[in-house]
This record gives sequence, structure tokens and C-alpha cells, in this order.
Amino acid sequence: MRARLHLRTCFVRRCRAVSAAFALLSMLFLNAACGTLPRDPEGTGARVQRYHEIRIGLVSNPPWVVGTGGEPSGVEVKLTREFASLLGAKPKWFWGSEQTHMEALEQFELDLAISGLDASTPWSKHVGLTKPYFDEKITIGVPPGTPVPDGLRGLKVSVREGDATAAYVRRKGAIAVRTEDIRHMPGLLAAPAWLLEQQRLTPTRFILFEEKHVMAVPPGENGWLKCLQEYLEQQKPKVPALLAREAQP
Amino acid sequence: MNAVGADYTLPPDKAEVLRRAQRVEWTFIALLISIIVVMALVMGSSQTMKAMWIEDTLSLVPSCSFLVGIHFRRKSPDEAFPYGYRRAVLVGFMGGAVTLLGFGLYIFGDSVVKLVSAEHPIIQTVHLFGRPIWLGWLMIAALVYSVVPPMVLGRMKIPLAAELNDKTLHVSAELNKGDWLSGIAGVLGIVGIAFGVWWADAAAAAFISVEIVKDGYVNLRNSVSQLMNRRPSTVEEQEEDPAIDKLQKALEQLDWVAKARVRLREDGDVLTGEAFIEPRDERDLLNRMAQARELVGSVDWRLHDVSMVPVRSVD
Repeated sequence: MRARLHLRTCFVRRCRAVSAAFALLSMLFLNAACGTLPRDPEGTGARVQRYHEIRIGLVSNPPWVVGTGGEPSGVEVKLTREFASLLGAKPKWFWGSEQTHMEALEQFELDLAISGLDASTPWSKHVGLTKPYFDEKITIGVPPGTPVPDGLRGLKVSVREGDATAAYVRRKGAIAVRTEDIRHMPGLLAAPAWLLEQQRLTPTRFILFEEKHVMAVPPGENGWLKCLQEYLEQQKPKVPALLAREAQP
Repeated sequence: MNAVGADYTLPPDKAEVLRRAQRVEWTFIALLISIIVVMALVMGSSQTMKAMWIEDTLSLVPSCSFLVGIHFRRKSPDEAFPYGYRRAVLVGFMGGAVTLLGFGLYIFGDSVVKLVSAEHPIIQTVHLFGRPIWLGWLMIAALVYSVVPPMVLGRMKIPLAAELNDKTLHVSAELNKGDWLSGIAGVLGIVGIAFGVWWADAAAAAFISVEIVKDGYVNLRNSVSQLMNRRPSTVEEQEEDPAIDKLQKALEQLDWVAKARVRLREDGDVLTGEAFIEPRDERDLLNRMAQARELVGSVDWRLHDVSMVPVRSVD
């Protein structure tokens, strides 16, 4: 038992060393990627490098952006916090609405905005969007031991009340049962695949819709966008783990 | 019963030139389609790329109408079309000209709006074979690729058009010049964005759209004046075609002709019309008119189906 514990701490320590080395490497890599062409017409990247500060707009949207009274948390908050530290900058958080943040981005008053944004947002005409860093599949989950149905027609499926998911469920011919708390509902449940897995439900092939998660930057700041884009591309594999940790009850 | 016009066959040396021109146009169309596909793949939200893509797509029109026109103008005149099919090319050509003009104006307006509202263009980064690459570099590569075929093949078309006296082919060569010029402008626009000059993209697009409008205008003027039976003009300089004078002089050299006046129009690549002849001597007029008709072919290979009209006085 003791031996196993020792091995574990050792492994964790080595893991830390490796991840520190990796962080250092990716910092060098990012710096190279962020300094070169293309340049930013309004100099966002250069300003971040000079003042060591990134102005980040936040819109509450758990588990992506979570306000807990003190420091913000959430998947996108964690990602951007690490991005900032790789650039040797500190994030300066601004809570607000999507409308105000997007307008601020458009006028170059923010450097980044996170709100669990989807690639299909109509704001794409006014601000710069990264490529999707995570594809969230909203599907239907079955409880363990229950056979996976062949079709959905006429079946009762629980959905969160006040959520667009209900419409997609209806479109598949199923009956949407709207509830306030989907965590303790028996039977079929419509939710993101990661959430289903967490509740030990089996996601099925009935995909209702997909949300491609992106972040927003000021318009035309192509160098800054590329810099963030490359960071997110590196982080892609980590996102499911971040999500799982974030959604712990 | 209609008086169906005579068949026209190109002289063998010209037929060979025509075959070469067709080969050049087919090659160009094949390359242009590849350009259009490549451009569409890397287009993104750049205004320059949008303008270039439209210009390249519309560049297909003159080349295609040349080839389609050649196919139709081989047909012999028949009951329904007693004057023949040699002007068939004009139909597609005019449609193309109007489209070109319309699109040019649209892109120009769009670019000016983007300049005035200071819209900053976004160019994404894509991951190719696991490596991040800014789409702007791919756009530049695509633009450079799009410059080469019109530059090379356009040059090849100019002498062919002059030899065949083919206005459609000539206009298609002229358009190619505009194509590669605007391709270079497009490269400058994207390089401008790379260096943080947000207005370079819309400015390049505006420049390209002026080129498109010019193309459209030239095409439209050319096709309308042919439809209006404008006096034939040379392919290169748009001056009066020497064939009119040559025919007039040749007719006046006949000893029985007092005066001659010739009126010609362009019928696709050939010239047709009427020659009014004032005879000095009216004896044996029918045979003499036949003699004059034979003379026509020897004056210029393009003269075809010219009607001989004896008149009391040409003035």
C-alpha cells in the first residue's frame, strides 16, 4: 500500500516536471507565433506584451464561465488564464453581458471575450472568432441497464426547462418533459454528451445538435487571433478533462 | 421560301489558326476552373478574394462564348436563319458583359462601404497537416497561381485574335490582362493585411472592381456596336477596317464601273454587306456583275455574301 502511494506521488511529481517543461516549450513556441506576421492593425498583441495585461470580458455561462463571488472559474476562464500566463501577462476580468462585451471588442476596448460562445453566433460579422476548440454534442442518454431504443418516436425525454433542447427533442418525434433540475431524473435525458457521461448515462447516436465552442477577439486583429488560435489548438485534447472537473457537483 | 445565304468556309491557313485558338481557350478554361476551385477553398471572409473569385468566374464567359460561338457559326444558313449563325457568339457575349458590369459595380459599392465603415477584415489560421498556417499566405499562393495562366495564355491569344479578326477572342485576351493585373493587386491587398494595414483588402478589392467594371463596359460596347451594325473596325485599334476601301477601289478599277460605294457590317468574324455599283456601260450587266462578285473573295478572305447592287447613281 505504502509502495503504491510512493509510486503515485512520484508519478505526480514527474508529471509536474513534464508539464512544466511542456509549458515552457509552448511558451517559447507561442512567443514565436505571436510576434511574427500577420500583424494587428490596432496592435492588440503588442499591447499585451508591453503592459502584461489581457482585458477579458466574461459572461456567466456555466460550466464555461462561472462566477463564484471571488475569482471567476470555468473551462474558458481556466484556458484563458493559462494563455495569459504563457504570454507573461495577467488577465483583467470584466463581468458583463454578451451585447456590451461584443460592442467593446468591436471598439478594441477588450482583448478577448468568453461566454461559452458558439461558432454560429451572429456576432461573427462584427468581431473575430477563433476556430472551434471543442465540439459539444447534445444527445440523448440512456440509464445503465436500459436497452438503447431503436427510435425516439413517442418516447419521453427529460430536458432542462427554458432550454432550446426541447425543440430538438420534439423534432425527433419524442415527447419533451421539461424539468428544472435534470440531474435527478430517471429515464432518457437530453443533454451534452459530457454531462450524460458524468451522470453515468450512455450517450446514444441520436445527436440533437452540435455547439462548436469558440472565443471572440477584436475584429481584424489577425496576429492576436492567430496567437490565441494556436494556443487553443494545443489545448484541444485537455478540454474534456477540464469540463469533467468543472461539472463536478 | 427564303433566299438562304451561301455557306462560308475559312481559308485552310486560317482554319489552322482557329484550331490553335480553340486549343488555347480549352487549356485556359481548364486552368481557370482549377483556379476558381482553389480560390473558393481559401476565400475566407476577405473582400479581395471575393472580388477575385467573381472576376475569375466571369472570365469564363468570353472564353466559353468564343468556343460556343465557333460551334454554332459552323452551321450553314438555313430556312429559319437565312443569314446564318455567324453572330451566335454575340448572344452569350452580351449577357456576359451585363453580368460583368453589374458585379463590378456591386463589388465596388461593397468595398467602398467597408472602407468608409472601417471594417477590419479577419483572416483565420487553419491547421494543415498538423501545422498552423495563416490563411492569408494560402490566399497569396492561390492569387499567384491565378496570375500565371491569364498572363501566358492571354499573350498567346492576342496575335491569334488579330489573325482571325475575331473580336470575341480579342476581348477575352484583353480580359486576361485585367485578370492578372487584379491578381497582383489582390496579392498586395493580402500582404497589406499581413502587415497590419486593415484597409488594404478593401482598397485592393475596389481597384479590382474598377477593372471588372471596365471589362464589362468594353464588352458591352463591343457587343452593342456589333448588334447595331457598326462599321467594321480593326481588332486592335478599333480603326476603320481597310477592307471597305480595298473593295471599293478594286471595284472602281473595273473598266465598266464609273463609281462604287461599299457598306459593310461585321457578322461575327466575317464581313458582309452591300456594294452599290454605278456602271459606265450597261451592256452585258448580268455577266459583269458576276465578275464583280468573283472579285470580292480575292480582296479579303473575310468578305462573304456581299450583295452587288447596280444603281443609277451612287451619290
